[in-house]
Amino acid sequence: MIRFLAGKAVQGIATLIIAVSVAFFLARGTGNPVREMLGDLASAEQVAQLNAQLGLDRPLSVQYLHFLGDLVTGNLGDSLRYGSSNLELIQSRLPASIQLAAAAMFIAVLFGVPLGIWAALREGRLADRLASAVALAGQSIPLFWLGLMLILLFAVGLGWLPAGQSTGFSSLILPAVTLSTLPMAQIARLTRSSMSEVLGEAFLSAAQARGIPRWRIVLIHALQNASLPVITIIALQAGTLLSGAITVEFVFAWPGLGTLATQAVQTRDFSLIQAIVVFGAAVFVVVNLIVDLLYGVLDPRIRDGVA
Amino acid sequence: MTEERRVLDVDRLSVVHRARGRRGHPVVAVDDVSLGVGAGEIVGVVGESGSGKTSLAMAVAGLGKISTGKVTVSGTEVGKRFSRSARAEIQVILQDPHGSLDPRQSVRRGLRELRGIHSERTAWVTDEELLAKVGLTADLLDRLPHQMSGGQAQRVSIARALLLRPSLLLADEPTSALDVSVQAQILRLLLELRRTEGLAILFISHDLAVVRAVCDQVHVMLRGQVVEHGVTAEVFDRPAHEYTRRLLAAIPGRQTASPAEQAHVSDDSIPGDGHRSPTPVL
Repeated sequence: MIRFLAGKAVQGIATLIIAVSVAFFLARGTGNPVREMLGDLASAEQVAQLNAQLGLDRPLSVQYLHFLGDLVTGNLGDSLRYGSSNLELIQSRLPASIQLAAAAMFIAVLFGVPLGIWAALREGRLADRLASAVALAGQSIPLFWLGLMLILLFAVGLGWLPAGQSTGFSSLILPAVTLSTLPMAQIARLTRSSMSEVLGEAFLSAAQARGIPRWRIVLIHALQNASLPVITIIALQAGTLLSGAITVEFVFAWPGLGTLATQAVQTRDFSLIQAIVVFGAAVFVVVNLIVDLLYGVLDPRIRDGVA
Repeated sequence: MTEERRVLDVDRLSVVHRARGRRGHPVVAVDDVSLGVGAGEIVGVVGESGSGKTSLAMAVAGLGKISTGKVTVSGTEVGKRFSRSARAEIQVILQDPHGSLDPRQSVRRGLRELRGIHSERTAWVTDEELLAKVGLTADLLDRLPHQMSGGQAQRVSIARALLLRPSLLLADEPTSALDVSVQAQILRLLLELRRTEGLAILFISHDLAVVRAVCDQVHVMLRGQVVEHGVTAEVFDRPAHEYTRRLLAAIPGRQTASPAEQAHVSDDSIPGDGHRSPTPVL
């Protein structure tokens, strides 16, 4: 188990190094960040002064090593636009993003898992095709369009819910519903396929023959054995939602990490963009590590190395 | 055998599977089959693949379709309103020993689940005593299916079936996925359970040698119909139907002892397999 954990930790660190390196070189490889920030009218002296101030006049390898060194000590740098620490900025927006991601994931699981089970139990029938159509629609509808339609209907038309910003529970509903559609569709599709596979297993026939109630066969025996891919997609989607649901946050003016990232791009705050990318990569690595650990807990065959 | 002693009655059973696709024809898997199993009796059903054995078994167990006819287990008709306690009267042992156990459920948890559902039928024996009845030791209680050998897993399946005190055990190819020596052990166990627990067994198999060794009566199936039936020794010694003769002729020449022969003569258990040495029963 320790060997398994160590292997996963090394993989995670390697992934993180690659991700932060990409973020570092992209920020510098797409032009001079200082020139982009100050604009074309800035004088050469002003550009040189800011370059020196930000350490951008030093060789790239030195900058890179300095950047990695800062990351090790938890220093994500300072925002050029806001003048405060990037970490503090991320921390200030994180609660809103967590709130939105948690609400969206709750809705996605609440509807996606039962929809997938329902479709699997009626495989090949009309109900299955209907569920598949709903899932396909969920995966295909552009989020910005859905968000705008929901605002038009529930905020502008009916006036039941606020159109944007974080002003309490009611303001969470529309962005959470919008954000939940993609993960809900993916969860429903994966639950269906995984359950369909498991429902043909002999141990479920044996369970039925032993007089075990049908609800228990489906929800305990079948669902548990079909849960690994579903849990994987839930965890990975949770990581995606947490690290910034840029479109939805932008449409609903939600004060989370997605909006912060949009503002950083608009103001060419490369230091903040870099910090948000690093944070997103770290979230992904941690979520993946948790999923790998969950595999061992949920399926003893993986822990024993036989599956 | 009198009618009163019958545990299983299959009366003119037919199973017709729906056609697949627009141009497909319905498939008659079981065609007007009648058979009975008395208390403590082992009745075999043999036939090649596709002869309808498994459709018959599934219908009898209440797991498959019954198109026409009637199946009665201990006086209760098998059908849509098959109650939980009636279902417990007939228990199945399937071909794949590992596949018929929930991969995430230890032996103990599996037994506990059944005790919770059938509390009125399961208080007669402790887990340890139950495992001993199938030749297993209590140290297997906390094992998961993948931590057991095929023989151990099949014994656990038999133990789970026994816990419910069924009148009839439906064994659908119970030894075909096992090694020859383990097959012999499982056959010995079934024979012992017939003797000690008075179990009636409907034994589905394509292995004629095994059927000859363990079954009192045999039914030979071809394309969904029973083409010949009778006392096993008589059917095997004087087959009346051409198909039965062909089946018997197709038994390969045996260079080594078959599982059936081992079930007769051998009393060895596999060392380190977690089994107790079963008593010879034949």
